[in-house]
Amino acid sequence: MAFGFSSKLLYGFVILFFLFIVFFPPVYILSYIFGGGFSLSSDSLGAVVNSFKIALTVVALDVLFALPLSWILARKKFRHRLLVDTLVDMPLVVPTSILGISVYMFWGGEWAASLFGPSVHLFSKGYWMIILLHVVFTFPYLVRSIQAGLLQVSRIHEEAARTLGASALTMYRTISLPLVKKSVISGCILAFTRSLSETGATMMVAGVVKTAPVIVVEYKNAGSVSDAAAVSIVLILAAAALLVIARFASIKTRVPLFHVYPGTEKFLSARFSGVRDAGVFFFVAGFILLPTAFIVLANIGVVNASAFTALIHNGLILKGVVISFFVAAIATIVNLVFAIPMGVIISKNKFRLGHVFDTLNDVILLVPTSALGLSLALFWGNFEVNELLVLVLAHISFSFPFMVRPVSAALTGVNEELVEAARTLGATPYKSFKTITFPLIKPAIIAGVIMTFMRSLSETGATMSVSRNIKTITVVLVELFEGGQVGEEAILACILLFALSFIFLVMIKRSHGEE
Amino acid sequence: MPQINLVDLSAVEGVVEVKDLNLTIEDGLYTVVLGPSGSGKTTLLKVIAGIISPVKGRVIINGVDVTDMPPEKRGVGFFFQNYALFPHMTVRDNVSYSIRLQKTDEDLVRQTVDEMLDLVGLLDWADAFPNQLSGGMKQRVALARALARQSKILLLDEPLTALDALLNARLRSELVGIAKKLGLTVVHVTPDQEEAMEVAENIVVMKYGRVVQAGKEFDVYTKPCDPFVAYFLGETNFLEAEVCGEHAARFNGKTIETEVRLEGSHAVLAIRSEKIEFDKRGVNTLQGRVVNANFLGSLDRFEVDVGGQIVTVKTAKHTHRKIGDLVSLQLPPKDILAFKDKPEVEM
Repeated sequence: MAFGFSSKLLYGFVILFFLFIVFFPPVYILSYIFGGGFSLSSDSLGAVVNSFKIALTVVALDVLFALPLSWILARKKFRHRLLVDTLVDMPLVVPTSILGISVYMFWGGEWAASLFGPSVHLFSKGYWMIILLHVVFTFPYLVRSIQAGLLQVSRIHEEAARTLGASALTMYRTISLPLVKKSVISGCILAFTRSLSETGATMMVAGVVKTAPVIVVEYKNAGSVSDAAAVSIVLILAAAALLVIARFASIKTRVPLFHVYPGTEKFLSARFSGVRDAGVFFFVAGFILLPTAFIVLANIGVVNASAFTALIHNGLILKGVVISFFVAAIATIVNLVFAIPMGVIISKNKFRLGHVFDTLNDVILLVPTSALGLSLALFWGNFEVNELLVLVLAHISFSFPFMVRPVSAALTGVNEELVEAARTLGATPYKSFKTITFPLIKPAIIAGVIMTFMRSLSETGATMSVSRNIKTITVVLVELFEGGQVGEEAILACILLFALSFIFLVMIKRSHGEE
Repeated sequence: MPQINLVDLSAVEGVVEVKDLNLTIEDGLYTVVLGPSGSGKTTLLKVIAGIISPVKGRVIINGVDVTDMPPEKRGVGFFFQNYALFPHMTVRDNVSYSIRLQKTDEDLVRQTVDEMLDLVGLLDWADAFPNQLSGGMKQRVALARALARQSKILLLDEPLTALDALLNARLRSELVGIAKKLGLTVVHVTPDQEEAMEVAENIVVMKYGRVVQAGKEFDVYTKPCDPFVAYFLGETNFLEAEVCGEHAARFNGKTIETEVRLEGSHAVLAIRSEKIEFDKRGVNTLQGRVVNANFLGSLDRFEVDVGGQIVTVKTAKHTHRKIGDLVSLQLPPKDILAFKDKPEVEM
């Protein structure tokens, strides 16, 4: 199709916006490689190794339980399926600093000590608590991703396998799993990089253990920018390398040896589906849902008038909330305006640049946010820009992919014939977009708006890196927690934000018509 | 040889329902289940294969109650309408899937797959992936894969529908040939009556989830027990008439004599289009005007307006009647059937 001059201008403007506001600032830090003096201290190296060990363990645990759970959610009909489906997603929308407090309260186990006596001890801050925390917020990525893949796989292939003599487990291994391979791998990558880059909540439960993003913030605060930059660069390159490896891996990996297992699998299919369901239920309830919601469950008593009064009079928290909402709203609106044309470029492969921009969006998603924040601070620092503006620009940058992804995916799913039909019926390109395409992708836009807003609202790492004086609510919470000053009003604020997250999540689910 | 018995079977799949169905599929025969879309044909097939569990009733194969048996244990070959070829496997891997689940001897697997591919004429395409094949080839791979199950029962869900007309016609006889060669009990589901007539030994006509009539192809065609069967199988004229004797009724001012006994005051007379003859003297002649004339190659088809009712006539004797011509039609009494009502037809 030919482009008019005005549409070329529009797309050109969108591409410029993307490159200079969204994409370039986060990767600006890579220029420090050439600045000389790039070296990794032993502390830095240790932190990077810690981060990788944690991320690997976390992903392994996630996969182990996400495979059966996504299967149950995608294929089985049971009462409260939708509820379970929604609850599993909770950690995706609850701000991670709130998750940090909640996980600490749950696994720290003061409640257990008060119930069963002081000798009962669960976990203390450190390596394992970081893993328990990261499992909470990465698990939904895998479940979401694999479940989406399974829903796209036509069940007819699975039925065919069964009629050809495969037991349930054999069918899963030889048909379903290979067909959702890509989803499993992309879910792993997301979970891995999220674990690799999470900052705020990790600081809360890390104790003396240092992870790479935590050390970036520490270096930055101590003023040693070159050390912070070195760690950031390693993280970004690692994320990029993973992306490349994953793309190749999803092409190369093949179905494993075929005829060895059927007998065993037949036996397991018949005997152990109950054990599987119970195990998955135990894991989801005990390791995901309870730790996530513990802050609400254990502190429901603080929802009272005096705590509300205290909250209203707490200038620090109130200001944090206002700043958070302001920044999130601006970032969401700006991204909405630019993400729709960018979605068109990606889904319709305009100017043959669709794949390029798709990959660039992935890169932003994979850049660890504390590295991204540092990069943005350094980049905009060159221009002496106002701190609030930098904060907004940072949020626009890292939340942009959250808007583009659902929009471009929905646009890809719109049957081109419908648009062609509208054109033959006399609709102009604009009219056909407005009357056909837009209504069809509206659920995706709503989902994108909510995800972008929540992502901005809950982000900590990048925010800490770019702003010294302006503090969003999540940064305030981290600082209060570090100082041991989490009072009633802070807990109440957490509960209110938690409730807001839940409402948003239900809205996303509804917009997808799953209700 | 296996026989399939369905006893008081009810099943639901989406909006389609099968209700209190009783049916025997005879062993070694080629049975076609015919019906409009939504009549429950595919649901019935999936219940036999074990893909769908019935709400109530029993499925008995070869004397064994298999109602609660999972599909992999039933030993029934199933051909899926859109082939359901595994996209991540080659033709060879697709076809060998079921054998490799049983046997570990790779030589035997290879030999069986080669036999099956040879049977469907696709030996040269063993290493291709499904997306490299044409529609007709995919159809053959799906057939080979179902056959490789080495089951004596083969269930075919609209095996020819997705193909173009020419290929469809050619593959009909091939299907029957393969089934007979391997001595299979086949249940073939289709909405296409012409396809059904060509391949079937037994025909089962379904409507709204129920069996309307089942029996030998010839019997079902010549002695439909329900106006719907007469309507769906072949082309039939339905004439509403007032009964005026045990073997006579008045239609459009004329008396029509029948061999069947008429009851009540009102009857719907049914006659196949190909049984009506032009300009032949005798009883039951009607006058009308040609309103439509089609040359269909092997035969001609006319629509004749008889006092406001359109009567269709098919004849293999090519005549040069044109639109507007006055004609007389003769309805042989032995070919006239009588029903209480016109067929219920879904739009």
